[in-house]
Amino acid sequence: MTIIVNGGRADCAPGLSLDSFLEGEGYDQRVIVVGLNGTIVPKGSYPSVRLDDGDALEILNFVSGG
Amino acid sequence: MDDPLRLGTHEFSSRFILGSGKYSLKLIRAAVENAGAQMITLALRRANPGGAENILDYIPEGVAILPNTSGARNADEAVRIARFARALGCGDFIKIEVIRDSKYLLPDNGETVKATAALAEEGFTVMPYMYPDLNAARDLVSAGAACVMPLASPIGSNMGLQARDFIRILIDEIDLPVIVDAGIGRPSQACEAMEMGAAAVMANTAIATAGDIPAMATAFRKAIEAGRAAYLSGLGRVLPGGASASSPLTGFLGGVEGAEND
Repeated sequence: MTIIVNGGRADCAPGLSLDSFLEGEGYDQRVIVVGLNGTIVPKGSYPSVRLDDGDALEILNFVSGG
Repeated sequence: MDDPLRLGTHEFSSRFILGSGKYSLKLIRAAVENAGAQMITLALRRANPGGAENILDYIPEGVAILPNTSGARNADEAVRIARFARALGCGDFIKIEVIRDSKYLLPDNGETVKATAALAEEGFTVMPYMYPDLNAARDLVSAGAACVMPLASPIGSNMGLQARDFIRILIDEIDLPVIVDAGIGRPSQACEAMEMGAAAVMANTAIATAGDIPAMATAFRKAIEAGRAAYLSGLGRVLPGGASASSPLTGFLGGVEGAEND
């Protein structure tokens, strides 16, 4: 199945947990915040969130800025 | 703390807020330490997979994180960015930046007021970047801002206190900390802002574009401390036209030619 990650398309196994997806992609889960279809996902619930076809993820972190 | 900067329920002994943009992560620690800064701004952006360096690793412990809402073009976007920033678990501060103008990067005061009201209601300590307009500043106070952050001149310009007279009006009329943000290019300008009664100064580009970044951070710290001390001391009066001798006008040495005129 296909999901949208930060505006781009990405392949994802059906039913994969958010936790597993992030780990597989190499995101550092300590420093990111994730939005799923516009809603912020609490950090503790990544393992219990299952990704569906067409889901849109926003994965954000802090960068330098004024 | 003898003279704390109070922002909401938080107190700081430093009155220098440091921006982290436009220079290397490796210099951030030195810049923060030399600045004596207890607060540093960060932006929120899409993450790259594969683990780019984490900026938080370069910020000394105990330094407050001030996320900004850069990239927001209206109040709704600013609120959304703020919520994401808070979910990262680095506290409740938010610097609101709502900018529609891409040439001069001037803040949209109306949208900033709306975002301030929404985020203050959600418990954020809201620090709004604004164009120095008294009516908008009063609206920000009513909306629950913890301070107001008027620009001195356009972001990143290093043009200094172009808005001096209007910032002075805010300092006179607004019963919240007035933190001068954007455009401060030199330590002397930061010092002047503090002498005027600004509660703090935020600087980024002036440091980031300096020849020696940590050394310039030190220079700004000293200037801000000097300006604050001068403000608290009460500046000496100005005497336009004429003069007033600093040395006694009696007891001159006898026989010294011209002494009466010194």
